[in-house]
Amino acid sequence: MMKSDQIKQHEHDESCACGCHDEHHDEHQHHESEPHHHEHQPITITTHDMSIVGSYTFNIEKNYKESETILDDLLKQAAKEVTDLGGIIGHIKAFLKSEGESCMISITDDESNKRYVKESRCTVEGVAIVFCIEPEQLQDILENVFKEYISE
Amino acid sequence: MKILILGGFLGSGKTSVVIQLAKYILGSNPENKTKVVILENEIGEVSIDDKLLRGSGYEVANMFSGCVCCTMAGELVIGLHNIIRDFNPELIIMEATGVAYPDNIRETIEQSLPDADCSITCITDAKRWKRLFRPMEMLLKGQLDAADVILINKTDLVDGDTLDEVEASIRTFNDMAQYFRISAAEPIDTVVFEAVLGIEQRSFK
Repeated sequence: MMKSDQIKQHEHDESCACGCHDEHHDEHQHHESEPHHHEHQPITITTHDMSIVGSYTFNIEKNYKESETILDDLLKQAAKEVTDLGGIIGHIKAFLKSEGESCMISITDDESNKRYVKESRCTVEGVAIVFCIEPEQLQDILENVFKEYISE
Repeated sequence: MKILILGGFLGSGKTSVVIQLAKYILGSNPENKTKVVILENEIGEVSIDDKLLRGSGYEVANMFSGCVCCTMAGELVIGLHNIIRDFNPELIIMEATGVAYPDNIRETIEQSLPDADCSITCITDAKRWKRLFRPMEMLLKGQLDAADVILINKTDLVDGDTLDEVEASIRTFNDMAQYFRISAAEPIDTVVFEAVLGIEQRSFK
């Protein structure tokens, strides 16, 4: 088993055991367990053995219900783009979190005054683990799909 | 102390099984809470599954940004010793990453904790098996060949003939394990958990 700080490169041909044998992988150099950090902080790409791992965090400036629908669509779009490139999806998952409702309570005499605020921001933390595409391709897919949110 | 390594490919349903397994062991008695510690390993730089498990109220430890079957083997040993020191649990459920080789994890644990009763249960995805079988063959084989129990999950999403074909295909990698067909989207039969925990050595189909 490779350590993540080791880099192993081999010619990728039909006898390769990495499992990626469709035509667009015929000539690429295959990196196993190569750290592949990019400077884009909302999205980081690493490789581990055969897998390409994209981690992402961003906010959606909507309430929870709307954010849930948006995130569902975004992940489906990312999955489609991976598949369209001939990639195999391990999983693409994300955790969506909202503070929900907030309340400010103030008292001047003996009566309290309450003001409710509906949280309109959700935080997304997610991971996409895929196979048989290049790390750069996963980076491009995630940047493209999440572009509206990672730039906020 | 028993250590259960729960392996299987990404998306096979490991976390869903863990939630039901922990619930089965702990029952409704909150005093049993520290009997079981779930050790989550996730390969991404953010953790997802532990948030789900913590929300279920279980004792959860997490190791992410690497795989304990290889790059984080040292951290696994330290993590296990810390769990034993802090909780002295009867059972540690080690949920591996979806790209881990469970046998490597068992080897690491047995070197560090030779008295631990260590077993491997591997989850497979009946719906995606045929699609993944060829491109992921090496990984799937490596995950399955040392398993003591194999759970074929998502049986509700395929027909009976497909399920038979999937099981036959999986058995080419490991015909010694106990096999169970499950759907983790529904309550799992207690017989399955007894086998996973080694409570009773019997098989059913």
